[in-house]
Amino acid sequence: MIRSLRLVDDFLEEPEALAGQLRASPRPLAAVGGFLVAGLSIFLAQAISGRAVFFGVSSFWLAVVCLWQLGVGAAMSALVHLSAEMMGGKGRALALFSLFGLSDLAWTTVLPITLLWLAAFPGQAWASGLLTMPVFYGVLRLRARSVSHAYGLPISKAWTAVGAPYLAMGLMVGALFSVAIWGVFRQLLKLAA
Amino acid sequence: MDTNDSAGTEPGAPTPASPEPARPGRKVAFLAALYAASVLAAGVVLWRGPVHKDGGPSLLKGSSLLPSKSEKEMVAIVSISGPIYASDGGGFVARGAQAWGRRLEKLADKSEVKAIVLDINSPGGSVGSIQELYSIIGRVRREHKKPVVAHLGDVAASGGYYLASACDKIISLPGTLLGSIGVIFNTGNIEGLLAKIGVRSGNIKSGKMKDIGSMTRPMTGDEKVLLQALIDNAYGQFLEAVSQGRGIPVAKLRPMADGRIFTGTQGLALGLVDQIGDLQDAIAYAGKLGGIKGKPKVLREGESLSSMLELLDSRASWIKSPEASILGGFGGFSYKGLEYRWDR
Repeated sequence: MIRSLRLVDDFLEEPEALAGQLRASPRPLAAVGGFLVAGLSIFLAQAISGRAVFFGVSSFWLAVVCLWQLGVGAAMSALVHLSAEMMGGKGRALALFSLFGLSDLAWTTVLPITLLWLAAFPGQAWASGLLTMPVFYGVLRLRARSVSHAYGLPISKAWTAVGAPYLAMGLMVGALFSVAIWGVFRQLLKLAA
Repeated sequence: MDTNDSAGTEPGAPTPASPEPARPGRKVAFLAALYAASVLAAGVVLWRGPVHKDGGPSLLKGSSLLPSKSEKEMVAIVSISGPIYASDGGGFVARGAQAWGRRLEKLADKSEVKAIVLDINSPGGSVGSIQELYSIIGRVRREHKKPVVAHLGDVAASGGYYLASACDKIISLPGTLLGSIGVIFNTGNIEGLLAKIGVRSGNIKSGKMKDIGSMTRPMTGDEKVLLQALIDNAYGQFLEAVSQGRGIPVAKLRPMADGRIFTGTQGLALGLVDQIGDLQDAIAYAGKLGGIKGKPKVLREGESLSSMLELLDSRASWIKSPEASILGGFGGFSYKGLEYRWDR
């Protein structure tokens, strides 16, 4: 526990030094812990603001959200590692995974923020979803900083590396959606004919 | 921490590890404590008010800090809509009588659920599925001591009404179509059609009744007698179930149980319905039966997701095989067997 807190301390106070340290000896378990704690925070924030009604508040859905956070974190680490290397950076994917796990700890702030919001504005639970936006930006910022330190890239390139998977995903979803719309349109044309 | 070693290193090169402090900084310790307190507070909020359809936990609505017993008590709604069969076969969503039965049992196990409203909008379905659900409703009432109130929507005919009769009370809309007490065995004969396209079918069977109900030949007299006996037997079971559930003697029930349908208002006059009202009335009545004071909270467990998946499933079935979807609309093509179903 103390060791994990020391790691978080280093991540906040000495990020560049920690990036080098993790490059030599990555801490994947700490990263897993970070992603799971992030998942727990997001789940609890949604549950208390009534935004988890769609899936339900249960241990099953808590596990799903935590595993989703972990899975996406691992996938993002791999994709950003590829992007960073393509941009000329040098680093280790496992070290990046460790740093991303620590970056995701920023999600823990969403819980006290949601609680404070609901205490200040009871009945305005719908708006608490908007509060996740600055937290998400904070997570992305920490990730970009981590990429910059771990791969020796300027911060602008690090931001590009971090944003590339999101951009690719957005384009993919857009393409799939277009194909689906086109498929439905074709079916309708066939039926009309 | 010694960071002097990093001076002069190339960008991207690993920075030598700095010695770790003996204990984490105050900032991190404070953040960890704040987070632990937040998790604890969130746990208390969730414990105080279970999440339900008409809002989040009660703290969000500005109520008192400690939960009262009544704040955790609620009425659950189970919607039974469409034809009732064991399952729909090829879809990716678990639905049908088995899924509804599981949902009922799951809700009955929840201590905070004090009563259940069965929101029925169905023309009935297969005999086995209806009787399975009837039995589950009875068990929920007997073993879990939880009242079940039926609310009838557009249609609660045949098997739909069979299920309603298992409930403590039946609340119907004035224009609901209900009744249609009876049994049907759908069959057809496509012998002429097959002959027209040059197809001759046949079979080898162990006994003369083995292909009873076959669509490729006319029904024999013996088969009609046998099927009529089956139907009469299942009809007797239907009468018995409604008689028991509603407390109407079979002799009094029989004249109105020739398959005819009634409106909710007519049903009220005949004793097939207890009250005319809407879903909110049913919820309020169920809350009262369950001992909940004031306006009961409502739980519609997992329905948003399952109904969305069902919609996607039905669209997927249509795209995959429009012909099967059209034929599936005709009961006789999709199900073979005895049905408590209003067959239009």
